[in-house]
Amino acid sequence: MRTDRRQGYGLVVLAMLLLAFAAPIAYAAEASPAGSVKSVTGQALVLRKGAAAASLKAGDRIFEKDVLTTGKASSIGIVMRDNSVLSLGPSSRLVVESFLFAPEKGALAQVLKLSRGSMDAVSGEIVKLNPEAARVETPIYTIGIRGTHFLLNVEPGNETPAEAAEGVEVVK
Amino acid sequence: MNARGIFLPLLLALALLAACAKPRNVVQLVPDPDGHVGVVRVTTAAGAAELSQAGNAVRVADAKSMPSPPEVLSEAESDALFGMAKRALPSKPVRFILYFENEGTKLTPESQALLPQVLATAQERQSRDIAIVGHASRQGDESLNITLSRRRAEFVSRLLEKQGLSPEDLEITSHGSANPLVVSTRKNEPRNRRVEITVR
Repeated sequence: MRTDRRQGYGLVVLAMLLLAFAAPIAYAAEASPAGSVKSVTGQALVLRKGAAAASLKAGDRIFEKDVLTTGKASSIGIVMRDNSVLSLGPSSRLVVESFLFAPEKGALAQVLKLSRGSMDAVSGEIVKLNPEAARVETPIYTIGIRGTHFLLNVEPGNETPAEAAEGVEVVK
Repeated sequence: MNARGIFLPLLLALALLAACAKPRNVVQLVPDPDGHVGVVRVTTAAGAAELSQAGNAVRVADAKSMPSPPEVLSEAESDALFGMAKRALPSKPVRFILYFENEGTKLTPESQALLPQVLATAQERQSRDIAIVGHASRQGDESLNITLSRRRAEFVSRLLEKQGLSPEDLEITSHGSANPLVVSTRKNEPRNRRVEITVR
């Protein structure tokens, strides 16, 4: 009888622990990805709020608000959920400022911020459905996209000092 | 002869200087993989320029300057600026549509025959991101359609797993009859009984 009861408490504690840990996991699973990494040459990092900078590899998911940086002689290829594709050349920094792709709800947004480096991009469903919903921003110019394949670069030195400090070179 | 010997290197040096002085914040429009050429608009605080011809580019000196008028960017400069990014650009995802017999998870013979091609594409692209989206026609109760579209997607997912694809790389969603492929007067429109697979 006593042991039963103890087991009972144990189960309750276990259940509470499970709940405590499961809740944030469940939350994380709800945020749907904005895209995934197709390829990495050299080194590419992702900076996510509340997490240490992490190396990216093929198959990793990309989320809204992610900050992506590439090192010297490095590049990364990404496929977004609306089937737009993009890539970053060396010493680049890109923020996925906003990404929404729920056409059935009319929720569409794709705002990417390139603060330094180079980028190749082919637009996808979002631009096809609503060109106004998509743009690429840089510290000195903004690109509005009616389609579809374009290249851009921004010389270093135009980003904020904090942005300039982020990246592969400073994360050893 | 002599004058020419001095003139040519001087001209080259000048050309090089001019190239260096050009702003290196550049936007270039290039053709799509299928040859189509779109339009992009580059805007600064001072104004905007539109690119609508393949190969054309604008330069931007700073945030307060107008973008330059569109000019043809040499292949050499384009490669110097964008070469590594160009080589890293993923090819467009490939989409397949599999159709089902009425009211169930049985694939039509034509769609069944398409499976090896789906698999080959996934392997060829070394895809780690494959979306499997289930749909149903408007026939019958919507709560049943939601379940049916889910079952169809799960059925296709299991088939692909059996063929060796990793479940981690497969992402299942389902829409009931909410996203028809074709708008039809037929409630049981066969083209809406489907699973769409996107191999990224």
